[in-house]
Amino acid sequence: MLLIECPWCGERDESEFSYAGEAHIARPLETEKLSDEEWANYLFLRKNIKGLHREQWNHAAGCRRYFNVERNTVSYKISGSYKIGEQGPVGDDT
Amino acid sequence: MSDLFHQQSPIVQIKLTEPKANQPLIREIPFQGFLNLRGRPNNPDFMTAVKKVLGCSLPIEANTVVVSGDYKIYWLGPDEWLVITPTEQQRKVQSELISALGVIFSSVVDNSSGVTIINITGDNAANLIARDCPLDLHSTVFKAGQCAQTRLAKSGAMIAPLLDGSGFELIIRRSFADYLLLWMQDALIEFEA
Amino acid sequence: MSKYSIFSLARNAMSFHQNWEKVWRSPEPKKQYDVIIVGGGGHGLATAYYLAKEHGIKNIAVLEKGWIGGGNTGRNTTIVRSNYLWDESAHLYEKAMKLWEGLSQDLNYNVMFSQRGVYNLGHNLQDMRDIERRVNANRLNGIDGYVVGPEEIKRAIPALNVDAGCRYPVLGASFQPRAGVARHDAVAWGFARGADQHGVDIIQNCEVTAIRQENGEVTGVETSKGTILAKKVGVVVAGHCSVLADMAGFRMPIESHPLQALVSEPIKPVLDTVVMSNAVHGYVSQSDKGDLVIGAGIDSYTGYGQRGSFSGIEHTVAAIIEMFPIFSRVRMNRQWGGIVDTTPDACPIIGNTPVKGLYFNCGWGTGGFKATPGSGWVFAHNIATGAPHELNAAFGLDRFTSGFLIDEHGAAGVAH
Repeated sequence: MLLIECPWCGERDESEFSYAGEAHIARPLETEKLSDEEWANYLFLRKNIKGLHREQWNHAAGCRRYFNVERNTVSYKISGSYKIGEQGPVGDDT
Repeated sequence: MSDLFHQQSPIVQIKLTEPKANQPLIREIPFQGFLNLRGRPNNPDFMTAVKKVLGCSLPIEANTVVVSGDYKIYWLGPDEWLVITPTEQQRKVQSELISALGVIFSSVVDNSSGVTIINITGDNAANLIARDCPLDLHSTVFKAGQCAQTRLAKSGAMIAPLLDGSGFELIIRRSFADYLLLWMQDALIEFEA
Repeated sequence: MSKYSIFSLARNAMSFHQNWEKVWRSPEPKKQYDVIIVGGGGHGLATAYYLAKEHGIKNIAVLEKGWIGGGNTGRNTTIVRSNYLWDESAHLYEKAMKLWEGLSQDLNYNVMFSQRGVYNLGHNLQDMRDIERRVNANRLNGIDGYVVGPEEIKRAIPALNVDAGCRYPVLGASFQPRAGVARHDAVAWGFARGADQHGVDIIQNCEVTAIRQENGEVTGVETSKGTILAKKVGVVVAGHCSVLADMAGFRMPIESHPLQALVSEPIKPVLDTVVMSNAVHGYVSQSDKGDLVIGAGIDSYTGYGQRGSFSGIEHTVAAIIEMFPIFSRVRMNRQWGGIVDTTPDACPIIGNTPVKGLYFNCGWGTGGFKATPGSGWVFAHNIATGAPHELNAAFGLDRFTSGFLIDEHGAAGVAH
């Protein structure tokens, strides 16, 4: 069971949150000029990292805000949460 | 209001019995006014305008409640609050807020028909809620003046300790009230003896 | 290697079953192979088997970082069916179904394929519309199946709660009679034995650490047992395909999620078919041993941890008890998780990659077991000829660029 820290509400149970995928995927500018490959890259291709992963969560049953989490995808250990737009933590790779 | 519109509690079909043995007491506080207020807390004009109407500053600290006269204001998010007014006062407060806020970036939405309040009091109030709620309800960490939006059974709920320490106030969606009350009645069986 | 038969059984009985041959060898890797298959699960072993049997390529190594069948092949709920909605997937899974039907004879190994039928329950009007649409599509594609009502369901599955007053009333179901279950370990062992008999080297405890390439062409792999060369490399590693793709220098449209399953203590026979429900969100069958084999959805977050969350267990068990209140006092014996590689359209990716000679077979998500023989069969063709078979042509990596996605989220079932 994950204990996830919402940057506003503090540590809450995993069941209060919904997962929203890889973080820091910037929507391309001038989308009308994108090639099909660039669209595929933005829409579908993912890093799917085995190790430290930056990802988005939504505190769905709580304050309903999106925020970022850095989590190890093997041990599931969370190194920290940070608000959208903030600099994230630098977790140890264990 | 015209008598033609007869308000009905969302749990009208559920019979709340007197508590037996160690059962906590469950009671609805129906027909309160609920306003959803949004705006930017770092905008002093917004904060001042709201204070003028409600008589107090909005709670900025996450998951806290402020009481001001007849109004109770709950923190819902960094830019979102719930204002609870006595029955039938929500429209007056809403229009006062809208005129005070004017062109300030904000929104005031009347959500009164969408939610209701359930009070659970008694020694086992926390134990009843904890049957399917991941929140730590112990009085050393969850005190009067705090509130928390969380998950209750398969629904969502805003939970706040009552100021007199007798139990908890639950603000739940009207559409889930029936389900949650049935769930509570089932959970009550444990405290029958 | 000797054939399994009544005579070999009798012969070995004479020596108290002490002299059975090893089912497959454990050779040291050679320096070079014609084809390397990365991943010794069911799909990888099936690929090697069909490469050797159908395409005459015998100089093959299957590299497995753990033990064969120790990944998702040994971690699934063993359901086999082919009632998918769209033509492309229906044809692919039906190819697999036809192979399943002759697999034990073909492999001379009992994979315990049991065509006990699969029910997909409908609980509301929209469910029933979707079910009728899917059954009609199936029949147009020559796949068996029909819509059944609650009375017939009650007769077939007496333990299921079909009361009109329950929270999720059962309005009907689709039924595929040829669907069923197979013994997952036996599938890995049978394909391993079959491949080994054709001369395929199965190398366990051999982890691939890098993919060697020159001028955009694959030349071999670096492994924990040294460098192994090959002009063709097929990667069939389920949850780890993004890791292997990263080694080769490209990204995949895949996210790896934990998917868990549970088995109960063995109980007397109570369920002789497979029951799935998308709406209540769970599926269950009873193994020959008597334990209930139970599964539900993936965990929402990505993970390589091969274990599921507690809230997932709670959700799964709640769904099963909703459908079968009679199971509420059955104790669960074991729980485990696999890593499933989910794609945006719930369909696999089988075909060529940006690197010449490097082929990927992945993205089976939560439903790869049912496709094991068909997946190996088409992937073998793809590797041998260098181009996709018509059955897997629509499942290329290029569909994410062209936009020709095959949305199977409905028929892929519960787990998505």
